[in-house]
Amino acid sequence: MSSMEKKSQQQRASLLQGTLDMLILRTLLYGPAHGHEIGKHIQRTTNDFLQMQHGSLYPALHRLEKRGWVSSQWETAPDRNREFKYYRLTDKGRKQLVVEESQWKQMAEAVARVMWPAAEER
Amino acid sequence: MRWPWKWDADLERELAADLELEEEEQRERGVPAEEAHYAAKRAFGNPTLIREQTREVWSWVWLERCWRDLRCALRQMRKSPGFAAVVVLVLALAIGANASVFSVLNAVVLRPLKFPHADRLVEITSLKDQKPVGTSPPDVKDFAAQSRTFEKIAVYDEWRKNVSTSANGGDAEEMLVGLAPRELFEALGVQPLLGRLFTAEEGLAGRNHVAVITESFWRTRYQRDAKILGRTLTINDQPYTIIGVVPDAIPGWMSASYNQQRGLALWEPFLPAPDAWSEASRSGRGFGTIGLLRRGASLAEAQADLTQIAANLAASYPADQGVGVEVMPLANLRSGDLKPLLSLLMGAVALILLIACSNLAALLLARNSARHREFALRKALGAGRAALVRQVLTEALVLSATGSGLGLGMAWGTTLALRRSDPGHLPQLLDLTLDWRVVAFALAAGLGTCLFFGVTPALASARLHAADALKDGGRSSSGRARQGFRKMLVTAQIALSLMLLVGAGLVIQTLERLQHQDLGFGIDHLMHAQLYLPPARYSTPKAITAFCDLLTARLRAVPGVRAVSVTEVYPPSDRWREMFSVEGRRVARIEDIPSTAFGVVDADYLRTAGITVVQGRDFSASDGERTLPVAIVNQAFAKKFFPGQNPLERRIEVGAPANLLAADEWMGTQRVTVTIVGVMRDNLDQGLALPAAPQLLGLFRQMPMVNSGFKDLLVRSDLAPAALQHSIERQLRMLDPGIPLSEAASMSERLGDLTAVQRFTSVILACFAGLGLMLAAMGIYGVIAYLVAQRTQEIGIRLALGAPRGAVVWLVSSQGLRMTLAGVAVGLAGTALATRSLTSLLYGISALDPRTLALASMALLGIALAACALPARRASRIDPMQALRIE
Repeated sequence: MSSMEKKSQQQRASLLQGTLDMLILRTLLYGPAHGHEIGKHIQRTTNDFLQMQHGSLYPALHRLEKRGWVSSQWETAPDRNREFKYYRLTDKGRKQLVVEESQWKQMAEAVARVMWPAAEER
Repeated sequence: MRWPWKWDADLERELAADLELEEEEQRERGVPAEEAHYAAKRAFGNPTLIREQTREVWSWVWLERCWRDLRCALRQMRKSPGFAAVVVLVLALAIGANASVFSVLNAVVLRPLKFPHADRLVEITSLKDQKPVGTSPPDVKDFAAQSRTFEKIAVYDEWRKNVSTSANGGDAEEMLVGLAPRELFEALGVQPLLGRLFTAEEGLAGRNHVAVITESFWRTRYQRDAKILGRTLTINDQPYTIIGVVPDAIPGWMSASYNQQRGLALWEPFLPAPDAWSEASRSGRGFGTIGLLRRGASLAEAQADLTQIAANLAASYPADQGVGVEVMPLANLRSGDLKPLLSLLMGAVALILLIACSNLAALLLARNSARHREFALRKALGAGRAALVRQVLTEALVLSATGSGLGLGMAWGTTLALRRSDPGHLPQLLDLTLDWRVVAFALAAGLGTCLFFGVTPALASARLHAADALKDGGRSSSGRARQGFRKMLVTAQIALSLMLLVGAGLVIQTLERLQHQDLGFGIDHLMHAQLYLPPARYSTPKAITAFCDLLTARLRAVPGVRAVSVTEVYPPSDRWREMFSVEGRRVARIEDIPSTAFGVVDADYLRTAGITVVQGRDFSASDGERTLPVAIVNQAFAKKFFPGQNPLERRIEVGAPANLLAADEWMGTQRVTVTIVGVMRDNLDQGLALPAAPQLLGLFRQMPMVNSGFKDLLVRSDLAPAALQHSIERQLRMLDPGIPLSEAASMSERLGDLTAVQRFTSVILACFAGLGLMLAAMGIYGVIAYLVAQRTQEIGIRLALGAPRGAVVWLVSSQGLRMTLAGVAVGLAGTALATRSLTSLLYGISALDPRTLALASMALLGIALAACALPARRASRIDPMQALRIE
C-alpha cells in the first residue's frame, strides 16, 4: 500500500468517525441486519465512496449496543440457513437517530453557508 | 452487564460468521475458493486489531488489559528466573536498607513528639563559651517571671537514689528519681491517672516528702493497687507519701544528665538542695529546662526574649557574667548527637538506592535490547506503541512491587533485631517501629525506582521500527546513544561505590583508633560499680569515709582481688569542673578564673585504675584527715598551668576565688588549699574522642565539703566478673544491707558501650560499601559483556585480519577501564564535597585521608578489571570463522 493511498484512507476514516453511528442507525431503520449487511449496505449506497472498515464498524456496533440504541440477537438468516448476529433499532435508538439527523443537518447547513456564501444569498 | 468471557466468545462467533459470509459472497461472484478466502481476510483487515478495538468499547477493558499485562510480565519473569531474581534481590536489598535506616531516622528525628503541644515545646539551656551548660534554678525562676513568650518554664533534674517500696527501707534499689515541679508535667500535657501533681508548697524544704509514680512502677511494684494514694515509700531512708500516678509519657531521652534508656520510674518535687532557689545557687548550673511557648510565639521571638533577660541578669549578678541562653525545639533533645550519624547513614543508604536504580536501569535496558525481536514481532502483529510501553512498564512495576515488598519485610526484621540488640542503648530506639511513614517511604522509593528504571527502557523499546529490528537479527546497530547512557549509569555506580567505600574505610579506621588508642589507664580485669550512701544514716563526711575504709578493707581480703578503690571519678570521663586559684597568681576578672576537671578519690585510686605516676609521689595511706591536704595533677594540667616549671609543692586553692565570687557550684562558700605532690600520666577524662583535659585529684577524706554519698567502686581482680560482683554484693550486704550495688560492669564492657554507635555505623557502612561494590561490579560486567556480544562480528573480522588476541583483550577491557577511571574521578570529587558531613564522626583521621582514598580507588579499579576479565577473555576466544558465518 503506497503512503498516498494510506493517507487518503485515513482521511476518509476520520470523516466517517462522527457520522458512522448515524449511518448505522439509519441503515437499521429498514429492519434488523447483521454487521456484514450493514457494512455492505453503506458501501453500496454511497457507490463505494465509504469503504467499510471493519475495524471501525464492529467497535461502533458494540458502542451503540452498550448505549442501548440497538439490541442484538442471534437469528438464522433467511437465505443462508445459518445464524448471524442481527442488530435492531431500539426505541431509544430511534430517538437518537432523530437527534443525530437534525444535528447533522444543522452542521451541513452551517458548513454550506461558509463554503458557498453566494448560493445562500440567492 | 455481560461478562468478559461470554462476551469474548460472542464477538468471536460474530466475526467468524461475517467473515464466512464475505468469503461465500466472493465465491458466489466467481472468485476461486482459495483466493476468496484470502480476499475476505484482506477485506476484513487485522482481526486482532478489530477484536482489541471492539473490546475497548466496554469499560472493564482497562482492567482486563492490566490483567493481561500482568500475566505477560509474570510469564516473562518465569521465563528468565535468573534475571528476575537478580532484579528483585537488588531492589529488596536497596529498599530494605533504605527503609531500615529511614525507620531509625523516623524514630529519632522525624516523628512528631508524643506530647499534646509538641510544636510549642522547647529546650532551654544556658551557654558558657558558646557551650550548653544547663541552667541554674534562680536563673530559671527569673526567666519564668520576666518572659513574655512562655506559657510555662520548668527546671528539672534526676538523681541516683536508693528507693524501697517498703516503709522501713528494706531491699532498697538504686534508681534514678526525677526532680520536677508540677509545671514540667503541665508543659508536657501529662495528666495524672490517679491523685494529683505536686503543689507549689511541696517544692519547699520540709514539705517535699511526696512522690508521683509512673504507671509502669505502679504496675510492677504495686500490681496496680487501686488504694495506692497515701502509701509510703522510702527514698534515701526518708519516707515519701505517694500522691499521684502519671502515665509513662516522659521518655528517657529527656534525662538531663544521665544516658537513661527508659523513662524515670518516679518523681519527687524539684528541690535538689535546701538552698536551690537561693542567690548562692545562681552559678550552680547543669539542670535541664523545658518551656512551653505561648500560642503564636515563634522560636526566634522566644530566643530574643530570653537573650534580653539573660543580658539583664548578667548585668545584675556576677555569676551570670558571660552567660548566654539558647532555645531549641524539644525534638533536638531527642535526636541529640545522633543527627549527624543518621544523616550520614541516610546519605549512604540513598547512594545504595541510586546505585541499585542505575544498575537496574542498565539491566533492563540490556535485556530489552536483547528482546528487540520480540518487540518488533509484537509490533508487526498489531501492538500499538502505547501497548509496548505499557507492557515494559508493567514488567518493571511487577519487579519493583515484589522487590519493595521483600525490602519492607527485611526492614521489619531489621527493626525487630535493632530493638532487641539495641546497639549503644539508645533510648530513642525503644520507639522504633515501621509506622506509615516508613511504609510510605518504601513504597515511594520502590515506585520511584520503577519509574526511573522502567521508563527509559520502555521509551527505548517503543522507538524501534518493526522491519529494521526484525531484519537486524537482534543486533541493534543504532544503539550508540543507549550505550552512552548505560556507560553513564555504570560510571555513576562506580563513583557512588567509591564514596561509600571511602566512608566505610574512614569510620572503620576511626573505630580502630578509638579502641586501640592509649587510654592512659588499664582496662583489663577492672570492674566498676556504683554505691549511694544515703545521708539519713551517713550524715557526716566522717561516717562516709569510715564506711569506705571498712568496705575496701573487706574487699581487699577477698581472694583474687588485687586492688580496690572508692572514688568519685574514674576514666574515661570526668564531668566535674572546679574553679581554682594558684597561690601567688591573683586573678582580677571573673572570665580569667582558671578551671579544671576535678575529682576526689581514695589513696588506692591510681594503683587500682592502673595510672602511673610520672613525677613526685602517689597518694599514700598516711595522707589523712589531720595531715596537709595533697593533690595529684595530670600532665595536661602541669603543661597548661605550670609550663616549664616544676608543679610539685605548688599550692592550689580549690573553689571560687573569694575576691570575685562568693560561692561555687560544688564547694559552696568553702575552699580548701591543696599541695601538689605528684604528676600522673594523662588518662582520658573527656570521653574517647577528645584528648585528656587538665585534671586535679584530691582525697575525699581530706576534703569533707565534697565527700558526698555518691561513690564509685573500682576493683581490679583475677575473678570472673559475675563471681566478683557476687562477692562484692555479699560483703556490702554484711556491712549494710540497705545499700544496693548498681551498674556493675567490667571496664571493657563500659568502653564497648561507648564505642557502640561507631561500631554499629562501621558495620552498616561496610555492608553498604560491599553491596555497592557488588552492584557496581555487576554493572560493569553487564555493559562489557553486552558490548562483546554486540561486536562479535567486528572482533571476528579483526582476528581474521591478524589482530593479536592481546589487542582484543585490551580493546574490550579498555572500555571498562575508561568507565572506571571516570567513575573514580567523579567519586573522589563527590567525596571531597561530602567531607563536612563525615568529619564530625571521625577521630584521629582526616575525611580526605590520602591513604584511604588511594586504597579505595585501587580496590575499585581491581574489582572493575576483574569484572571486565571474563568478557574480555570470551572476546579473545572468538573463532573468526564462526563469528562471520553467523549471519
